[in-house]
Amino acid sequence: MRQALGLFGRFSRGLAIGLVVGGLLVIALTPATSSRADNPYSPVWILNGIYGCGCSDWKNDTGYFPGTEIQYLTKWSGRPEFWNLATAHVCWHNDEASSEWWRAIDYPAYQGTYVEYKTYINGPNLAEGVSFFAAGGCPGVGANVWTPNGAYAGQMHYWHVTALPNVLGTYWANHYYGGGVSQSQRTIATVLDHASDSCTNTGDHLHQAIYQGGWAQPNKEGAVTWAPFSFGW
Amino acid sequence: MGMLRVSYRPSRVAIAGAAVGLAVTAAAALGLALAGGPDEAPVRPIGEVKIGTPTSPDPIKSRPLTPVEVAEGVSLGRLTVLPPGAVPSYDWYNHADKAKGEIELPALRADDPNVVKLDLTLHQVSPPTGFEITGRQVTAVVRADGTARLFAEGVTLTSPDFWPINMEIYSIKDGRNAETVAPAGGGPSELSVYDAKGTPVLIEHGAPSSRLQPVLRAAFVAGSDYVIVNAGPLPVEILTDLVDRFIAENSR
Repeated sequence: MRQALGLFGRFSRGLAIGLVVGGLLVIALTPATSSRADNPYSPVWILNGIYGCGCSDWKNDTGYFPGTEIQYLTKWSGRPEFWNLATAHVCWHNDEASSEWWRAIDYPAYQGTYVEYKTYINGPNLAEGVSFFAAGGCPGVGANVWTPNGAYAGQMHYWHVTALPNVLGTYWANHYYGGGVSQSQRTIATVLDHASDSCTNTGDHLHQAIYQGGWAQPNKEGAVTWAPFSFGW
Repeated sequence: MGMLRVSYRPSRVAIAGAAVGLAVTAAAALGLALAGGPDEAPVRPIGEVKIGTPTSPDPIKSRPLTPVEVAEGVSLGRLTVLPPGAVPSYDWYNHADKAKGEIELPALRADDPNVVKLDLTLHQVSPPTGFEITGRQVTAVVRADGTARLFAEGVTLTSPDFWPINMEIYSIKDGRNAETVAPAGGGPSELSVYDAKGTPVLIEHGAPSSRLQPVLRAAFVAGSDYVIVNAGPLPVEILTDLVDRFIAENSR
């Protein structure tokens, strides 16, 4: 019995040494680029265009288009036939006119509410690239976004809004650094009166959408916290 | 002394323990590496255009917009290019006319029964080599008499080797020009006018001095339709071939 305990003790000491040495080797040999703190490939998180705006009432808009069996805003994230992503926020939908590849979230808001382009990157002194253009089909602003290393990340739409003067065709945002995080912000538009917008029948709101070849990641907490959209490679 | 030497010499059992420890650590590290994580970057398409690659269209068939045209605006056929910072009107889109009792349906898949029963004539879209149509949506307008017209189509073309191409096709009102806004000079992109057999096509492409990956975007009016092609970092020949073919096949 004593001999068995002795063997077990020596084996345990050897095992512990092996685990410690192995762990140190993994840490030493892991490439520095896997650290996300200052990685220029870090995702660019796109925040809500209207902060603090919930959309829980929007999912209850179950009226029908006149003369049809088509419900308003039927393509919710929880519908398996369209986009069955259990972690997606209930306000997400993928029925933007141009393609099901656009994933969108709707934020009810009063006419005239300011819409912000806001991002953050998890790392110090980083800045994404951005250019703003006129959205097609519905009044709004489009934005192309690049990661801090210059790689194209994807495109955003802010619909049912009027662009502010001197936004479309420009390519800058205000950048802020602190706390190990890089942030950017620019006020780009105001929410339209839906009565003057042929694109919507469902009240004044911001429709914010992302398109990235099907890789755009929704965040289930999107409507009440930050970063519902992420771009990253 | 001899006893001490024996007691500090690693036994075979201890060596076996250390070996197991190293193996466990290596297996765990390999497993984590293969599994990836939520932040793992996806693989970029191998055919994407890299930073610094020129993407202006064929100079025989195109010319850059002049600084004056960008600064003051210019009309290219039925496409008006507004100067940077301008806010375009959206009243030239041929949306449902509510005053006439028209109803605009939501965007639906082209094979949705609610679309099929309207018997609309959709546009011909021939995918470039290696691409296929993987998404197609239709926005229809139903008139007061129950007949329908096509307002918009969205077509997504994908390839395993390239970024997806996203086409937006909108009906515009008779006698009206479509409007877009030029990017300001000195930025990541520039504008050229490409001649697609008589149809002027505005192509936004990377500026030579830009440190951002070049992104392509085309806009033109063909017949009574305003067409936008979002092509991402794609070789420009794929875009111009697609535009040439679309205009040739949809001249009506």
